[in-house]
Amino acid sequence: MLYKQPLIKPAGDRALRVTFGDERSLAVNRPVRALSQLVSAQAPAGLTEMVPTYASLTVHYDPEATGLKTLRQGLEEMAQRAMAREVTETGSRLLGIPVCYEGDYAPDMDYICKYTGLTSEQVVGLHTAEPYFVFQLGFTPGCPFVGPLQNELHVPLMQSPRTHTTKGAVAISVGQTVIYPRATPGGMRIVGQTPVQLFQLDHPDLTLFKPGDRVLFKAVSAQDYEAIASQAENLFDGVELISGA
Amino acid sequence: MHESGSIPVLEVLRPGALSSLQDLGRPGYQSLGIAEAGAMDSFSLVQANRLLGNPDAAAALEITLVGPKLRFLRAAVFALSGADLSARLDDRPLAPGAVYGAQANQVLSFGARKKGMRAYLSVPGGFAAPMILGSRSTYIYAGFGGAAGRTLQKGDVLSCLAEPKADIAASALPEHLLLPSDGLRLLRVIMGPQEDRFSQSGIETFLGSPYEVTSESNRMGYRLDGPRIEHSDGPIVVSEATPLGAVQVPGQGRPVLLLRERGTTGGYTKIACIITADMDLVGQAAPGTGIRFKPVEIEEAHRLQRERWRFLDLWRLPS
Repeated sequence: MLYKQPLIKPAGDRALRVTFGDERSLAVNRPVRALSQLVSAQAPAGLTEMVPTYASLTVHYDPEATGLKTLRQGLEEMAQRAMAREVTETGSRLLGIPVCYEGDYAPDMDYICKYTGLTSEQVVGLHTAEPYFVFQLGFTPGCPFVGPLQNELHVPLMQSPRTHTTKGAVAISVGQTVIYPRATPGGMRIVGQTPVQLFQLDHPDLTLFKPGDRVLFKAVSAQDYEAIASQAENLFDGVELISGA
Repeated sequence: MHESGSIPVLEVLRPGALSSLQDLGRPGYQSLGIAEAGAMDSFSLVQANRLLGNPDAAAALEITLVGPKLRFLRAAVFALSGADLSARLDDRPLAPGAVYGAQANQVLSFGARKKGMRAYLSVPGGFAAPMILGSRSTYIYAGFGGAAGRTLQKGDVLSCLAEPKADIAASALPEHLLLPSDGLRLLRVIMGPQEDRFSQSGIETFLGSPYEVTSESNRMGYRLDGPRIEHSDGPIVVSEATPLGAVQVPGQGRPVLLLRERGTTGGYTKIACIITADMDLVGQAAPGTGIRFKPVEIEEAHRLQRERWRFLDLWRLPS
């Protein structure tokens, strides 16, 4: 649900959080992106960083450089404007990402088929059907949270998470897809694997995705996966820029 | 680990349980999923640096619980701060909060934990390590920063960024700046952002009960044990930013403190966030440490942080 009024609350003694709703949806995320743009443009005194997520924007500040009241008033006013206006996404890109949904690259495919009642062809068909939206990066460097996921593909988290996922694992749960940029622990169900890089320290972009991008997953064979993987050293290698810049 | 102008000063004979190079951290990249990392006790880190006249943000070695064994490759001065892990230079015991000198081939080692959890070792100019996104801190769980993106290993050579045998007067921190003895820690918190997702009795449990740091504790976070905190509306929230020091309460009702290498987003309710001025005490809380929480207002939290650092600023090296 989109709240009628933005909710502003402290998140500790160095951050304020503006929340616009309580669901993972484009409608709730739209004012989050609008507020990010407004705060970036205005750059209020004491702003140290902003973290946009599904339903909220967390604004970090340095209390030695700004008064809490001043910052809060400015945010309230900007949050009202963010809710009121339609945001034209500037620089929103559509990126085509190869994913292998076969064999060992998709260790949870059997579970997903069993749980959803779909065939693996249907699962892949749905997951590659249309562009998803990149709502946020989080958890670990470069990890995108992508959605909304079609209802038919919603699967529960694992009872006990894997201690090691595979780098590039594409995983789904209720309402979202993530891609694990490195072998971290993870509790979502792995539906496939991408050979492309998601995080690169010596690349000026640092991460393949930015919040607000769109992504279209494209099914590739195990053979094509290996071919792309052997070439994909840098961010954007093996990635198709379908639109945007 | 080697930069131009850096001077090899220490060889790692034994790495210890978890020793890593840390500075004041790498803020500004949480929107890309990059946690700050940095010293778990920034106050002690800065003390170790100021004892040597280093910049506050110079990188020091953060030594956790079971310390390393290090051989000096040349004569050098160094400073120790933070936890008392029974440091010794060859056979000579060294107290934290002071500057010492070593000759080539002397060995710095650590023994039983006497107080605290993390000791800091600084050298002139700070330790050399690649500057990545404005920091030399090791981000262990992401595999970058510090010494090759990892904790120390046997055979590593650590270098410093200034002449190691600097002419620095032996000095020690005054008693009131040293780490307090172990004991129950009162951590002050700003309530929320999801305190309204807990029942009244859940809030009372959180603020009225003793908790204990468990052994499932590291630079990402600490799991606490203690009375179960009751939710009123389930533990799940839409994934959102996790500030440093957030007290997250998942479904089993025991708090998890989110620390320097936490995941930058999370989907569990946060009942409160620890104030910045108390975060260094968290970094020094060993497993078994008792914890109580107390709510304060934000302006009070800001004042406490200012005051804490003013005490350190007032201290000057004897000239």
